Amino acid sequence: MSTELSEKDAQQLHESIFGLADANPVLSAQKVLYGNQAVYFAAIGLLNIALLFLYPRYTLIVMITGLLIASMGAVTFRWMLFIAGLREGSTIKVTDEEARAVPDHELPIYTVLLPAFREPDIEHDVLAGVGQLEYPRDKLDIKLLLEANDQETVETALAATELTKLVEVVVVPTAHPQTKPKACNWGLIDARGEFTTIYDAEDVPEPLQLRRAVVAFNRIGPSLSCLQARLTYHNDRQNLLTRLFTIEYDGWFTNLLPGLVALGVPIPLGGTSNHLRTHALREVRGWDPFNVTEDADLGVRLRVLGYDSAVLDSFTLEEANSDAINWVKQRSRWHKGYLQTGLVHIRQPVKFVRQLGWKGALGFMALIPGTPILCALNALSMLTTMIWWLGGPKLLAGLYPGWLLYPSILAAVVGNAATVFAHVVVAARSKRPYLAWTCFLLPMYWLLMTMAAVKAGVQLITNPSYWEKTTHGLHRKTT
Amino acid sequence: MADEGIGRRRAVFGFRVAVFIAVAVLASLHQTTDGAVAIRERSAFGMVLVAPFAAGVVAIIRGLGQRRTLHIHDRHVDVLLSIALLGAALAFTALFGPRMWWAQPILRLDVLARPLWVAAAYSSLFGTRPMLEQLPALGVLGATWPTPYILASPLLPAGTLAPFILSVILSATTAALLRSRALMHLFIAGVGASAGFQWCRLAVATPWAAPAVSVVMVIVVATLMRQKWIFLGSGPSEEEATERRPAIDKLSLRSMTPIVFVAALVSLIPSQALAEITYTASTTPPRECASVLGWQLQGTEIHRSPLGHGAPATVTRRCRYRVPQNGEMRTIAIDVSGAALFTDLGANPLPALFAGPGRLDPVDRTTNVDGGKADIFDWNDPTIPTEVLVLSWYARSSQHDHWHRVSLIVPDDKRANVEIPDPTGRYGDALQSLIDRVLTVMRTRRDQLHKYSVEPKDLGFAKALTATLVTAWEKDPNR
Repeated sequence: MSTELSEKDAQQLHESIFGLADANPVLSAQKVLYGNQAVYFAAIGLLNIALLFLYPRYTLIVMITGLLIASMGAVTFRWMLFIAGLREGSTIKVTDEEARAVPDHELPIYTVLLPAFREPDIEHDVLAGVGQLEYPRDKLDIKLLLEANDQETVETALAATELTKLVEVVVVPTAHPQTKPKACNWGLIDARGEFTTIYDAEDVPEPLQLRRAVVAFNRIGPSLSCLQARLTYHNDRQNLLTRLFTIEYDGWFTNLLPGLVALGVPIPLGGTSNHLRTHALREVRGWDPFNVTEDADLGVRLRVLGYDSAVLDSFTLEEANSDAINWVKQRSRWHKGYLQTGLVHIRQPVKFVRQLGWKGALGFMALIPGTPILCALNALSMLTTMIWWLGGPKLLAGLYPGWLLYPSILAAVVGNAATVFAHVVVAARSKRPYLAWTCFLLPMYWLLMTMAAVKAGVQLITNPSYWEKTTHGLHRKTT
Repeated sequence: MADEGIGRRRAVFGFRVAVFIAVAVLASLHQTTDGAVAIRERSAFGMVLVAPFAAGVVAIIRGLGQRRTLHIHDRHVDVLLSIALLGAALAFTALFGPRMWWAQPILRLDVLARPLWVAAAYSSLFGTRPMLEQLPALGVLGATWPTPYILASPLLPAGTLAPFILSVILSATTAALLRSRALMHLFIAGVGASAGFQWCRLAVATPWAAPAVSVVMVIVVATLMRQKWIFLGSGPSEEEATERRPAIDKLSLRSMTPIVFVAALVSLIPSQALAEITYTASTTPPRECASVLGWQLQGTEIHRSPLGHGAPATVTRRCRYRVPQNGEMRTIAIDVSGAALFTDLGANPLPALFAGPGRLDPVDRTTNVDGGKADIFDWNDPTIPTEVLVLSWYARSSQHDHWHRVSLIVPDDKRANVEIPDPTGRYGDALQSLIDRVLTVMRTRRDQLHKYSVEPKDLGFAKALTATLVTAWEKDPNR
């Protein structure tokens, strides 16, 4: 921590970093493994290794059976979400007329947090995105949160006259962990708005989004604490990766999140465009700066404390990652964050189930820690399939007795077909039919996911709070 | 200045293209010379004809203007991708190849694995992005895979020696097209990968070598980690990655010379040691056996003939020989077909592929042509000429040479053991049955046996087999 900070800044910095950990250490990812978690995991690991040595065949059969059950469970769960997400009413719709009908003087102050790090085109991005919001300027409390050790962006922002008229440039002191949630917590302390939202600097939110959120909050009432707007990509046609990423994202925000709301499962919030009641946000102690998917963690914590979340039918345009290495870095952070979130919330499993209900807890397990784990284990499935094809069934015959072989084949065929089919439907519903053919290439995309999941697992052990910075603006560099 | 730079670049580029084409043309010309006839007939040296086309493709790709380079790197991705590629290469070389023994002479998965070896080495040493920039070169390496040529051109001589020669030529010439640093990288990676490739083959053939391979790999990885070219643990920040990249770029050919030298030696030694086991026996035409027996090859013809076992008609080679029989010189013709000979023939191997193990007889029929008359001998016909039977046996054994353990006794009482692993143990009985049948025939033809004496100094496979018959006959109490 910097020694040149004033006492107030030092206190604010401490609150930004350790606010949650001080108030409720069990819900903070400051420690990856808490209490006896390390002992339990080590015991399970050692037991598995011992069994593998003693009874290799039977242990492997049990493991494969477990993996099969988990995979089938995940596919079934996703299919349930898909069906639920298709139902009318799974998202909150606010028409343009309703949004504009609220007189300006009745609109509350809205805090917009814009964390940015190494964004040289900051002025252009903000003016083209957040600058276009249809909301009275005097009711907007926009805080551009920059890092003290990013002098280039700080100087660029302070020198940009148009930008400084719109936003308040806030310089966050350098301290570990240097993460987006820490910057957001710093901004939250001084937030003036009744509602708070967060955007990335290069985001282009739909202009009426804040008004729609206000109408939705007023319509549902105080029990609703959070609205997640839909994130989608503007550069979907740039290359194959952006096509695949777009179809996945559209499925996530237009289908999966509404499905989660419908089934009563806590939703992992997206990184941006989540609108929150500021008092609720403060009550849950803001974002966890040690969690690299602080947004997903926040969605769960809100639900644990009894706040509802919903999906708002409004969109924000983002840039789809168009570079595979950059994509793996970004996705590994997400996977690592999901694992962190999973480890944090199962520290008190009985209490967790009591708070969320068995359906919510199961859904949480399947979606949050389950996603990276299954992605990593997907490598094993692919490997066994490849060995089966190329090496001949005899290599694996001992591990796949008939009662296991046929369900495995069925699960592989049906699971993959169902996933591809669901994404084709998503392409049609998102009015992007040209992406339908891309869905058949999703297995290639899953390979990248597997790589990201393995990287996340390694990094969770070696550097849990390290924030893999995603490079933005690649679409501009390549066009 | 700019014009000079462009002119110089064009000149360098043109020079590299010229070198590439010159080498390719020289290689193509080489096969037309008399001295190369033997190699051409027994191998796929004709595939060098592909080189100019490959050169053209690479030249076009390389000439597509300035390449885009993004400075986004991730050592985790590099290592993970390398492991995946290495695993695939190992699987192709050590696992799938031997398992698919009936198709291995055609599929040559070991050759197909070569680009994977290079890609793995390149990715781990120099990064994923630089490796991806060398995809054209890797593609050319992949173009040495003989199967497409065998499938596409039944009349083109194909085999197993040439892909190795060709891949070396193409590696070097492709590298000539690349920038100087990339050339060095490719060279180092290629030699290193080749060494690994050969070590792996050694490990397959001699199990004791497997631990040695592991030790070597551990030493290499440890050295690389010590030099901070590979680091596990936390992922590097952009700054770290940027700081460490120059260290990689500082690699000079001089500093790498000892490693390259050792790698080259490692690469060469197992090649020679394994050549007899892995290649010669499976691809040597029966002509070699014929020369042992004192037969004179009159010529070869390509014929279409039914393969049998329900497989469609395929191309076979008919070899005409002048053989001494009953004091006269007669002409016989041997039709040879089967997987072991397809690569030699360049014939369509699809029937062999689909026939599968146990369904394919390398020599299905033998035809005795004498004075224009042809007699077709059946395997079970006791009147089949001994020479034909011996030759057929040789051809059959050469097909299965990897799978038998044959103890050979030479006439001067020196025992020579040719140990050929038979992991399945399926062919022992079949071989014994064959020996019994041959001996039965020989008992009726004992007056001819003097022809089969062999020189003890020559333990070639064909001679040794013939010697086995002689010795068995000499010890046969029923003769």
